[in-house]
Amino acid sequence: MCTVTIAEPRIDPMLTTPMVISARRQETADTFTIDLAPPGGFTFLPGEFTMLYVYGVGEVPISISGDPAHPEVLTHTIRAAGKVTEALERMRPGDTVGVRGPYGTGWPMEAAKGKDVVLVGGGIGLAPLRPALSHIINNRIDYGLVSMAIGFRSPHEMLFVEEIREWRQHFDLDIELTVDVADETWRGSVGVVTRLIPMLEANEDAIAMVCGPGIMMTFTARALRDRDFHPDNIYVSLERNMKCGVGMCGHCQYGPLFVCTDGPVKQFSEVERLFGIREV
Amino acid sequence: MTAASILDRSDFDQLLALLVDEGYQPIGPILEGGRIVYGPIDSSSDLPAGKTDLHDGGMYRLVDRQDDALFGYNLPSDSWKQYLFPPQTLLWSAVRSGGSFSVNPPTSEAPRYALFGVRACELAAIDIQDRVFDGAYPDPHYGSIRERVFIVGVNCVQAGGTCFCASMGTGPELTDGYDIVMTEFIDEDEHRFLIRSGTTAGGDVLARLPLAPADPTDCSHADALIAEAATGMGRTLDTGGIKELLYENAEHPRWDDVASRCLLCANCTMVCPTCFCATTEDRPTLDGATAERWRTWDSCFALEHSYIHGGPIRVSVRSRYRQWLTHKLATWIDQFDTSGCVGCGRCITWCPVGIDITEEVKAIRTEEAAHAHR
Amino acid sequence: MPTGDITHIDHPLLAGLSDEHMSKIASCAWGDRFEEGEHLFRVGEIANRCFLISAGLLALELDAGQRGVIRTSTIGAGEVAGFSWIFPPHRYGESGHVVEPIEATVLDGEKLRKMKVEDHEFGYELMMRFATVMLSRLQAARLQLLDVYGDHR
Repeated sequence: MCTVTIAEPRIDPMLTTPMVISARRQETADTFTIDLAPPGGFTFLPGEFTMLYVYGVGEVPISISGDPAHPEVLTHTIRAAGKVTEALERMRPGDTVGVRGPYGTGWPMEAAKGKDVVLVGGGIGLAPLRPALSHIINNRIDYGLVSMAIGFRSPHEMLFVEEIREWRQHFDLDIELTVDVADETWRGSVGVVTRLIPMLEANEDAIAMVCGPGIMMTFTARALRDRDFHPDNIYVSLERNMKCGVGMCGHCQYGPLFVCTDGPVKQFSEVERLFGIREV
Repeated sequence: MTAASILDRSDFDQLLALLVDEGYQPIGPILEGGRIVYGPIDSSSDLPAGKTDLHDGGMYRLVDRQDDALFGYNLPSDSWKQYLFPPQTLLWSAVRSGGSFSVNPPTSEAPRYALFGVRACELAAIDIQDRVFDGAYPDPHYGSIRERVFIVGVNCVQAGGTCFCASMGTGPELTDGYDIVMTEFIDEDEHRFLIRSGTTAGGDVLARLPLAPADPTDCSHADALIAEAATGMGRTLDTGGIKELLYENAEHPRWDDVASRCLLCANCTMVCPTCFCATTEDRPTLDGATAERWRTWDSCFALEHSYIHGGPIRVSVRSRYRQWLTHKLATWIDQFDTSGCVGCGRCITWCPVGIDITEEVKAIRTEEAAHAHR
Repeated sequence: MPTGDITHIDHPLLAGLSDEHMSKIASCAWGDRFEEGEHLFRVGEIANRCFLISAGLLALELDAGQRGVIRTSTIGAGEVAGFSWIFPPHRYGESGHVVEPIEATVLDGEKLRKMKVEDHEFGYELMMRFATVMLSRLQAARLQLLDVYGDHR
């Protein structure tokens, strides 16, 4: 017989586990958060994602946006932007979705220990950063100065309004918030999120964790480098089409990377070259 | 390496019968629609005796040979991928119950295939797909078929017009990974196979065949034929520093040139024995009571391949061809520690406009060298 | 209004400036405070002030007619508001509206213009500093134009 031997029993990574939606919150007009009740709990690392399945409709990769200290609830924040996410938007507590995972690389919570941490999140990109901030709050003594720059398109498109208010009450967190455009009723900062970066307090050997649209991550990394952050210390979370989540469907390729298994979180130094190539 | 023996053409069907007795479904080259493809075979009369195939960029012709060789062709249009990684695989089916659903994996037993006529390049391709599907999360669908497979390899004693396995270091001789390997000889009125086993299972089968011991001259004759095939390749590809070459030339104007010819038909990815991209399809019944989830072949030439909310990432033809070629010859090396190309030449033959992977690389290499000297 | 007792201005825009140049600027600078709701300047007014902000938040606004007043950006501690004094015809192009009480060092643009002409080295030093801020503001405006969080389907 041939050389390939795969140990029995085989676990099919494509099999999904049904979980019931326990709670749902509307974040903005098109973005919502759902809590699932995983039978037996669901342990994950900040930055990891799952594949969420809607019965008969399809499956999408979604970052986990909950608190890693609470494995009894599995939280995702989702923007309705396609067939499956629109189906997810219509689901309500009591409905069942399928879950596979967790998959992917997480934020460098270990490497950041003892250092200052800068988190930069834009739009829905704040969702994968939320578990990282929760982890920091839960283990505050492990980290140095912690600051976070958050950008949204407008005040109406703000996610996690309550959570941000709560984070801002922590005396040992510097949470800066800005929107790209606002009217007179907005009392906060207006301007792109990169403008906040020079103002964040952090040592230059701090660890930065950045998540948002590609162009926002490019400019944020540039602003961090202007502050003498080393590209090895800047981490970004990548996004690609994914059909399997486990490195064999080919869809999430980004240069040599499979974003599902090599990412989504990568050091900027590893992807800087790719950021410069159009349509790669 | 085990000792070689001689199997006479007249006893060839005993080999097939033995494998059928062992519970294998033999698959081999058959004639279909004016070309040679792989399909189920019952006896040697199903094989394309006396036929051979001419290959060139965008060109394939089936012609008669001067003899009755069973394996006297170069390469079928489709590859063993059809069987090991089928175009459609049922992953599971879900059954709705109230507001919830349950998930059931398929219950069917994996088939036991005996693959007849596996070429060296094709065995290299199977090895490459093994690495893809036996990664951090092994795929049980591929694995269960793969581990039951019996491989009867056949060395190439002629090379096709689009062949370049010699450049890729994958052929034309099978060196390992087979259960049985044969070299077909036709001299005067003798039609024989030099045959040897590569595994215990292969040895057990050979032990039950009426074999004659091979002469040392038979072995040297086989070596000479294979060596001749190696020098007769219709194409060559210089793989020196190819990863760096392609990484450094992501913006090379040649991509625009090839984009002006490429039709985005995805033929190259379908016939490629290593391309593994797949998508998923949900097939609910009309009443919604059950919903199947299928895996189907996909292609990086499809616009939807790179789709994320907001639209596809690789919109231009240029970017999609670049993705395919760069993956095949460069990023594959980083991903799987091997090239993704085995030099079978199918993508050249079956490209409707005759785009030639070896020509494209050559153009990038030559123009880069010219640029470096300016 | 101005009192001439300022000798040093602690603001990132002027960091590392020579004593000579610092005293020139100080000679036309004064500290001031502006309350919430006040306007530091309005579109079209003669621009003869520049504000080096040390605390508070200033919104730069444009009246977009039926769309209402649009805040294009906000300026906070360590930042600068008011470049129009540099360039003819010296009119403000946006309105500066106080969101949070502002503490600022105010520079007299008219005097600065004269000093720049008289002392080109001083003028160059000052222009480099303002140009750097203006460049970063321009880059941020470009990024804002991209509408990175927008749904561009």
